[in-house]
Amino acid sequence: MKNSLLDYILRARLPVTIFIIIASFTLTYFASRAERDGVGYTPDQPINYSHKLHAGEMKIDCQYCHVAVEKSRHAMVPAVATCMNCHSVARKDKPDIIKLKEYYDEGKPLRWKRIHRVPDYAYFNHSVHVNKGIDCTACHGEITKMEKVGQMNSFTMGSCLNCHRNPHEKLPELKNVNLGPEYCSACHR
Amino acid sequence: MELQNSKKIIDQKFSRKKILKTIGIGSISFFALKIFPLNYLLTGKNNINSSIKIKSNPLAVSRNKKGSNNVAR
Amino acid sequence: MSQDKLESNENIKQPDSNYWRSFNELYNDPVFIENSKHEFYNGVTDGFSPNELSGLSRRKFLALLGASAALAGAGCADYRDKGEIIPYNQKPEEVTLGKPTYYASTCTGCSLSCGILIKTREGRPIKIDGNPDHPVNQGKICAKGQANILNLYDPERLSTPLRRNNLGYFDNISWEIADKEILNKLNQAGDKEIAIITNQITSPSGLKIIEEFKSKFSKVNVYTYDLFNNSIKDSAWAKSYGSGKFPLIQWDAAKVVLSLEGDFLGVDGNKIENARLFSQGRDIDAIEKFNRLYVVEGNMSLTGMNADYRMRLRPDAQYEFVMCLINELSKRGISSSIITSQYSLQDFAKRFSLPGKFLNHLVNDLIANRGKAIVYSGSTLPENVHIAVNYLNEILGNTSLYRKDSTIQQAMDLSLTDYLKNLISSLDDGKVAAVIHYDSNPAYHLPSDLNYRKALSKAGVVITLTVSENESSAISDYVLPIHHNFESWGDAKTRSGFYSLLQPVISPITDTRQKEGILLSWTGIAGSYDETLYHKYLLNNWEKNIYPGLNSKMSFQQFWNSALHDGIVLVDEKVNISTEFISSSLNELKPVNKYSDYVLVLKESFALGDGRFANNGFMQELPHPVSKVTWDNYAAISEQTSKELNVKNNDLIEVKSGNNKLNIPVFIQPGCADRMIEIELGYGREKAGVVGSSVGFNANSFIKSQFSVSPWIIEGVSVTKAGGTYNLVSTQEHHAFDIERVQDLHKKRHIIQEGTLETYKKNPKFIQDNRKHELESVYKPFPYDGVKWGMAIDMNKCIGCGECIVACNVENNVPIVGKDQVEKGREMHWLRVDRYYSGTINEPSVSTQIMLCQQCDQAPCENVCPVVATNHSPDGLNQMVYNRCVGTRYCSNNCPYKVRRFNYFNFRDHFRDGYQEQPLLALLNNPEVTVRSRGVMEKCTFCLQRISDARSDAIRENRPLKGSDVTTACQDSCSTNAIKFGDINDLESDFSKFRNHELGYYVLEELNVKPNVTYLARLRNTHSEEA
Repeated sequence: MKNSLLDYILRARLPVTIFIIIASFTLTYFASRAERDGVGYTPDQPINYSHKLHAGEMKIDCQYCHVAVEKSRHAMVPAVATCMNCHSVARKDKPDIIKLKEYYDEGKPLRWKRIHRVPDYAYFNHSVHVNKGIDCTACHGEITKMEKVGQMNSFTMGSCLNCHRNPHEKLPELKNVNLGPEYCSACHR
Repeated sequence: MELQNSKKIIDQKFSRKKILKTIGIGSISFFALKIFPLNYLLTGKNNINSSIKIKSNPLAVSRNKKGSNNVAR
Repeated sequence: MSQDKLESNENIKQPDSNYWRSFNELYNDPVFIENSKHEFYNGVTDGFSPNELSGLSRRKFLALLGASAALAGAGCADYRDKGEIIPYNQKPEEVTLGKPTYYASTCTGCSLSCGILIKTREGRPIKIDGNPDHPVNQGKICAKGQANILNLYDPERLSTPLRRNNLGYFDNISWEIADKEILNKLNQAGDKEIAIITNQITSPSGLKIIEEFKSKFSKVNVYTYDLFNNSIKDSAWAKSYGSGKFPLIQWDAAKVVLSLEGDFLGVDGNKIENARLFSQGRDIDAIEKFNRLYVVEGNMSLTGMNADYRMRLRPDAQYEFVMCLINELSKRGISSSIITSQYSLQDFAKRFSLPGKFLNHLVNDLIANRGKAIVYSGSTLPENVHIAVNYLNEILGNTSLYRKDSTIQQAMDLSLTDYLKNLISSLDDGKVAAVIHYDSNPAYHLPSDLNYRKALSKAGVVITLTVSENESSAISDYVLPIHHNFESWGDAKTRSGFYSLLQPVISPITDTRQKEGILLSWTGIAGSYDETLYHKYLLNNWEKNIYPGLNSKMSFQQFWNSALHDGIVLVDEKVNISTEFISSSLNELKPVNKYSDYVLVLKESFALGDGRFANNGFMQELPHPVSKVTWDNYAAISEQTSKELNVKNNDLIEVKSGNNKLNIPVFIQPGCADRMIEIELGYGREKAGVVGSSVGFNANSFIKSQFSVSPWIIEGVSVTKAGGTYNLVSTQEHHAFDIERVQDLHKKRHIIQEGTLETYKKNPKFIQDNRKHELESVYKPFPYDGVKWGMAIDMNKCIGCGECIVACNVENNVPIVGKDQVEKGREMHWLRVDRYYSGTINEPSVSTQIMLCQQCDQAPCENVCPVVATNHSPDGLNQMVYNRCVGTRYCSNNCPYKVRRFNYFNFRDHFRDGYQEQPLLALLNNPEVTVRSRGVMEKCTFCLQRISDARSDAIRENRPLKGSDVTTACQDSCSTNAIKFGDINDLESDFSKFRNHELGYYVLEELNVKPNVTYLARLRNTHSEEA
């Protein structure tokens, strides 16, 4: 009787338990990867703005709209007035443009769904990176080919440090780049 | 003989019906809520944002660089 | 159940008659014996039947719980949702998100109207700094000005007009109704008086508005008052010199300063200007120009702490002291035209037990430095002292130190007491139709013998225009909320030579109106109120009346824009300071030599002003510069007096003057004169909001319109010990003076290293000789080859005022913790001013020292953090990572300087039930600094956010980062520029001069923690090598 209990434990219970542990760990690791590093998140936006059209085909510079990226820590999603610079006359008949005009005329806030977000306990400064010559696509992926913007790279601390520690490999096009800061207070302050 | 014993033990400790019942209800409701998210019921519009409106005064003149000397005569 | 227990008799013990718990036990009650056999009482299991239990077992319940939790979790919407990002609709041109915008304006925290720069982020003001272009404060602002930003975001600010109803409560009404009803009442005034009561009027355009108002109604009288003012000094000056106001003093040119009860570094005059100019004479690189400060005062004040020689003397005896001085000087050859033979300095000294050495030095110095010295009398002293001091300065030739380039100007003189009495009698006769409290609080401030509150009940209608509720609004019929300083337009003229402008940096947060605009709308000359009403009037006034006189080459619009940009407009104005001393004024000097037993002295609060900052947590929690008491005022008395009264610290005493009495706790202040009680005013307010109400004790009632000495120096008070105690909370106790073990501990441990000027002249290396230079270390030193940050604090310039503390609080989102937590030592100030006494309890010499995180190279805190939440950055800073900290507090345990502060609570939530969590106050937070919650350690970071900003600017401009690019918040706010900050690796910089100065030392250097804050030893300018 005792013999078979131990045997049962070793032959049935133990492998099953180990299997369940490994399976759930693997499952949750991969299932939560998107949540942990945010890669692939491509939400629907209130207005179907296409970067592929504007930044890709029409070759509008990133900084025409995202004006503050060189000056401050935020890259600044453009004000509705920036869109109206062209769209007060361009494609006035399209339904999305009419919606846009509605926002502008009524002063309603245009609530874009945020895609790239560094958590509040970390500080990220765009201007420092841009002024060192790092291109927008290095972190944000090929925006000019995206109809809908999604997160292409992981934004975990590990991936940031990866680049900070090996800038010459990650950014071979920059000649004079030095190591990025590795000390805590550069980002956690 | 040992296997028979183990099956008995299993039967004592688990009940197949109950396991299947729980998993069944769980997965059906999971996918049901994925299809019809109840999100719109739960988000209280952010209270902080709606109660206070801040607007800078358009008639004020700012200094673009702190302390630049341009004392008017 | 209990029936199962065995019932054999042999298990029953006979109750021991020595130990019994009840009579039943003692007397062997059979029921008791029966019950003692059973574990449970009878009847416990009645009504329990397993069949009636619910069908839901614990197991099932937990299973259901788990399943529903899983469902809820599944119901969570997209867990990858990162919120929304909402851009501007139309971006204002000058706003760059993430970069601050600065606006120049003027502070109205007191009537000095210093110029300020308001730093705004995304449209909301977050920090106040001084306006560098303002000739008076020159880029610095005092602690009250820094804290004023909290008043803008005060959640208890009134937001709608209120009207009192029949039950005595206030109803919210709309502005239309308020305007209509009030205008009705004003128009029905007829020939009855409309009284406007206001504080000092500083705005020329504001004065014009009042003139317009006066012209619209038949009888309007304007009464101005200030709780503490210079009116006695000014009237004495007018008597001595004919006209004008008391002049400004060139503190920087004075070699010897004698201050008589004059706290010019604290509350007397423009503290910022005085401190800046005075500290120019305490420059360690120019020791031959070092000045010498003599202070003769009743109680230890901020100025007294910085004196080279100090003597305590009760203020009512100052007159006799000055006359004795004049007599002594005339004996030494400085002739005077008045008879002073009845005064003798020696006798006076004997009567008051004054130190002879001090007096000798004083007289010698005054004679030796004729023309380069100044005798300054405090504004609370009576008129005869001022006239005598004016004469003293005249005969010593010190009048050359009065400033001829600039003078104080006032839009309107303060009302004389007789004029105020007219108001009271008019009120009593029912001849006043309306009383308008024009942003003032007379119910709290006016002298008690005027009985203002009682008289007010006879007025037709009482209207209060105020930012937040106060004692006067509580007894008004209508309460109208007005704009805060930062939402207002305006101008100010308090000195000759320039105007200062106010501009709003934020549109009105709630439904308030500009007070000048309200009056203007009632006159009807410009239509009904809208936000541009006063702005247009202001523009008009400037364009018509001021701009033409400036001979400007620009169009008015251009001129106005540049004037707003700068904040000040310089004008050419002739200043006439009369120099002819009128000798007939000397007839006022009658002999005085009898003093009452006790004298009560009322002083302006350094933190609260006249009480208007009572609801400001930053100022309430700012430790008093001398006593370090927070959240209360107290009666300061000397040790001798405390022995006579048989009281200890915190005991209550009853101070009685005429009909007024007050029970107030005692604080034994070293250096206080005997038989003198000093109480600060501005406390004890009943209607100051959640933070300020019932804090401290209201001593305003002691001010009378009839006074024998001065309104703030009251003789003939009787003081007795009242029963009971009151807990005064201070951030630093003063240790016993006579216990040898703790006496002068700060000097024995070299925390404070000081010297005298003579010692420094003889041996410039006297500080370096004291330092240990060879210290063993276990670690290899880290090669800091980039920028390495360090700080140097010049203790000669530091006066110990505490402005830096408030600036740091505002910049770094430091929470307010409240009195109960300060009692436990949990105040969250990252920077503190330690004050040490040495010498005797009656004539102590005081040393102050700022203590902040020393950013040690071999920090003891870094070694012991179990989660590595604090470590060192390659630019020399000890960095604190809040999100990693688990709250072990080992780092604070290890810190030898005790500069680490722990968030025992989420103080934003804990203080006054979440006062600081309210949405309006959340706008005050600096977005560059983390807002800490419960359980994390915090400390000074050398303004890491500013260093980071400067670094990103340097990267943007493709240049290397220099040490001088960064200024810390404390450094920016210090009026005397005592704090210096920079790169220690840059040996060419200005900062390096201070870091490597021969007077520099480190605190607790022998611990070999390698701190990065250098303290430059204070030199006292005494005659010998002893202090």
